[in-house]
Amino acid sequence: MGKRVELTLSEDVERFADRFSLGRDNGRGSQHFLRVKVPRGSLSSDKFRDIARMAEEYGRNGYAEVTNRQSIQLHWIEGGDAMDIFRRLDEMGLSTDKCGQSYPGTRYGDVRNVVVCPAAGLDAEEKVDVEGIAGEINDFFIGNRDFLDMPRKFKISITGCGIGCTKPHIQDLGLYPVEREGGVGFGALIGGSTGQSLPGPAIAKPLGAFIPKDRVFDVTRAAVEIHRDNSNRESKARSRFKWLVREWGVQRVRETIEAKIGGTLPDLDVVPEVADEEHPGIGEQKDGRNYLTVPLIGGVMYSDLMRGIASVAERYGGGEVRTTTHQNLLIPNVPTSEVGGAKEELSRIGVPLDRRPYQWTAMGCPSDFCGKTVASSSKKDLVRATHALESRFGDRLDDLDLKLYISGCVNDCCLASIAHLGLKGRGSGDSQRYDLLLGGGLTGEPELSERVAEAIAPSEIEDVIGALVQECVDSGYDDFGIFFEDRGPRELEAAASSALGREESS
Amino acid sequence: MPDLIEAGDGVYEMDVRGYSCPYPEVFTRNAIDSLEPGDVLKITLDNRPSTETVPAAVEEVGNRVLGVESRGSREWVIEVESR
Ligand code: SF4
Repeated sequence: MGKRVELTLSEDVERFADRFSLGRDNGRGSQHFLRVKVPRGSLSSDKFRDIARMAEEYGRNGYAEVTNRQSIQLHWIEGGDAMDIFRRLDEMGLSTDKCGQSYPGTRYGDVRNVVVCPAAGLDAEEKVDVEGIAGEINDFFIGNRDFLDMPRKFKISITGCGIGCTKPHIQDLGLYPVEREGGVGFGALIGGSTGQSLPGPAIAKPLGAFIPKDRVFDVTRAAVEIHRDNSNRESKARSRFKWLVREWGVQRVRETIEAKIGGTLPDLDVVPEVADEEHPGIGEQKDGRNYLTVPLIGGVMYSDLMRGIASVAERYGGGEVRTTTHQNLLIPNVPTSEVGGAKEELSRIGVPLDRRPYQWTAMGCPSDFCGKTVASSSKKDLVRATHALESRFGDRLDDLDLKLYISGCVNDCCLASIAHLGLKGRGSGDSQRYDLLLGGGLTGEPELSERVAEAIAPSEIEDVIGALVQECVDSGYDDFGIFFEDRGPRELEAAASSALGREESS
Repeated sequence: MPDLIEAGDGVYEMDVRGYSCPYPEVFTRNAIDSLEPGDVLKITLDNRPSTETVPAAVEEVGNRVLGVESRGSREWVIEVESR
């Protein structure tokens, strides 16, 4: 062994290596993205403004995105600026995802930002406030060296609301509230994911156990440990928790959790009745005040808008801004007497609250940055699709429940696999094409969507979506999911083929 | 934190396996600062994006990339000459 020469690194590097990293971009001239974890989806308006400033100073044109895991993502980040950025985030008490994605092997998986109901602690209808538990889980895992080298990432969500806004069915561990005699606790769904890794997109399975509030942390930790210690370390394609759940079966996972927490859990056969809804518009809080959900399209915002929203939060609310699970923002604690003023101000800065139901939930991924699409991007195609729907149907969409999700590739970050109407990219670079998926949804009987047309060009989106929605609303449906159930995939495949001017496949 | 190991004859080695972006780049910039012109640095890493970002960072400050070599499917060695 040769002589050691110590690097003259600042102490910060050692501290930061466990809690901060940059992700790899490969499009629009961006080398790196910065994905700021927003714990519990909640930021003070000051911190929200600071992130806007960072988007200007280190990104381009103040561009930022809200992700569907409630993080805020910046692009065009230079590696040379990373330490300055990390120092600033550290001072703000924030961190980033670890982005171990780039490693070719089954290593460096972390616990991703825990997805939490954005109306937690506020919503008049919520069954249990999860802010405290979510904070405890997040604090435990962020930068925890024992959980930074798992076979792959681990995704957790927790909600106390009755509308499953946190999409528990597509998490590695999705916790939802259950009311029982003797108090409210949680049920858990395990082994969900929309990504392509084996066994492919999967709806999480019920653990079948009632988890009292005071055992939620222990159960969560046990589940993550099971993944860390037992998920596949040989094959990246098989290294997500969903594969282990399939291999072991739910019962073995449950028994292992119970052994780890030192006690059996009561049986439970309650599953979420409703899921994947947004808290739209103005919501009533339990303290009589209101929260306002601010709609963004595809989570896109610029620093000016961010500053405007921070000001509204300060002037009319309590100076807090939250990120939602459908790429929107939420301003809590607005007194009823101030709602009118806040609404007016939000309209003035370009984010009026009078949106149609499908616009609150519509999502698109940043495919142009990650380089999976070149000619178009999922966010642009989402804008294209919503414009087309607006000009063709307008008010007729007021009562339609339509989950429209667009992902640029099979990794499906924006959940086309559970959409009523989803587009999933085929990752073919210049000639971007999407598969059309229909009929997914998490409410009632959870279903993955089914492919009804292949290789649709961005320019064809308008026609095919238009034709399907036309048939849906003309037939008097107010829920695209039910329309799909009634008509079935073959009939809608034929409708899609005809709208695309293609021969029907036999 | 990784160390810079002097392997002899102006050749240095640094193992940054286990570090994701931007750390391989940060360590490399730092290591190069302590080298003499003409010294060679071999960086072993396992974070694929760094096979692009490290050479770019090295060249940006006027040094030369001698090669990026893969060792199996999961590791790479980047060889750099300090200028
Ligand atoms: S779905 Fe694919 S294209 Fe979209 S952000 Fe994820 S990896 Fe990129």
